[in-house]
Amino acid sequence: MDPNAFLLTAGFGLGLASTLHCAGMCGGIAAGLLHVSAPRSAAEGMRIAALTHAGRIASYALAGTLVGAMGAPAVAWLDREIAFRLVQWAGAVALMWIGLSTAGLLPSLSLLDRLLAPLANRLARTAVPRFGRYPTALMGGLAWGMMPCAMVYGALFTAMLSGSAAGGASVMAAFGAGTLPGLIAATAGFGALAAIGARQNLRRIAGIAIGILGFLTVWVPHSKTDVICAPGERAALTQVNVAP
Amino acid sequence: MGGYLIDLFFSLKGSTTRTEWMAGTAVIAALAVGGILIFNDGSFDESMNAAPEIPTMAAVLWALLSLYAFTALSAKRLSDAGYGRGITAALALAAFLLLCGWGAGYFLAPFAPRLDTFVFWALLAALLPAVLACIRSPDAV
Repeated sequence: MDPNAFLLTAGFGLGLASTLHCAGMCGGIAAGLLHVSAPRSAAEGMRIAALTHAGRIASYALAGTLVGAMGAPAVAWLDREIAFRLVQWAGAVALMWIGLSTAGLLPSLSLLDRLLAPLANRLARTAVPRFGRYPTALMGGLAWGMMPCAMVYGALFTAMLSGSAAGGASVMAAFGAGTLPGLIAATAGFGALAAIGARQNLRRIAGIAIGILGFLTVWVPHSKTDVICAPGERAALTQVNVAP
Repeated sequence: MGGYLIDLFFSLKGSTTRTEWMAGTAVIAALAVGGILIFNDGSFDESMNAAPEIPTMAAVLWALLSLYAFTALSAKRLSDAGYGRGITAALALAAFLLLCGWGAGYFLAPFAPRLDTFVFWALLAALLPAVLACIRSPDAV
């Protein structure tokens, strides 16, 4: 698989895995930002929602650019095989952490939450509607993207090991795109999805399922992934995964 | 029952009796060893087994998860015994470093005259006070 496609897939997968969490935690924010902008028609509502999500994804991409740039020297210093393992590790750990913290089994990253909360509050205050609907929607989205969130931290961890600022931005932009289905459903008023996300037992089951998926990324034998790999990819894996 | 077990093995808050700690530790140890035996299979993770003596990523992740459960259980026991958070942190940090070293291929010959042997025994000595406190301290109630 092309490295860029791999990064995009990893980020998108992390975003999709966060669907229930996002709908439960951010469904209200999504609907609230739309309500604040008071769209006068369905078409305007869609444009405002699109701008809000664009702002949020832009925030993610910016954060991904920063952490990717910070992680790049470390990854460049490592050889290709070790870097590959680290990225595989990071993906597995991030996915397991996202899953198990969603299930309430592992603590969420509350220290980072506390550190970033003042920044998010400051940005949120600037998003008071005084610049017109569309800029307000975009700024609201930018502020929303800065909100403390354990899922975002998990994705940023993967972005950090992508090896470049562009790679980090790709992972985070894809992560943002992966969160879109759940959040659009929540914005559109599918309260049931947010309600599902808020139900303890369902959150626990979904979280454990995500955790198991994360674990399987390092436990499924590569020989079993042949069906989803093109011949060239199998050859690449053989080169990276030298037989003992 | 499910809530009780989840609290016992995954919550860092609360307290637990010596009997619960011992039974819980036995369960965690059995699951940890069983899981490591299953997951430390080279056919499942060729990338890590490029060096055969290094454990697989899956085995290390499983061991880390087991360590978290043991830390949660011990935090409650140490709280019950009246100890501060520092001793729990020392236990978790020493055990974490031991697991990281094992995952990176160190500590595999604990009696060989090498630097990592010294580090291994030093880390083991660092986590011993917390384990002894868990075993010896009487229940608060």
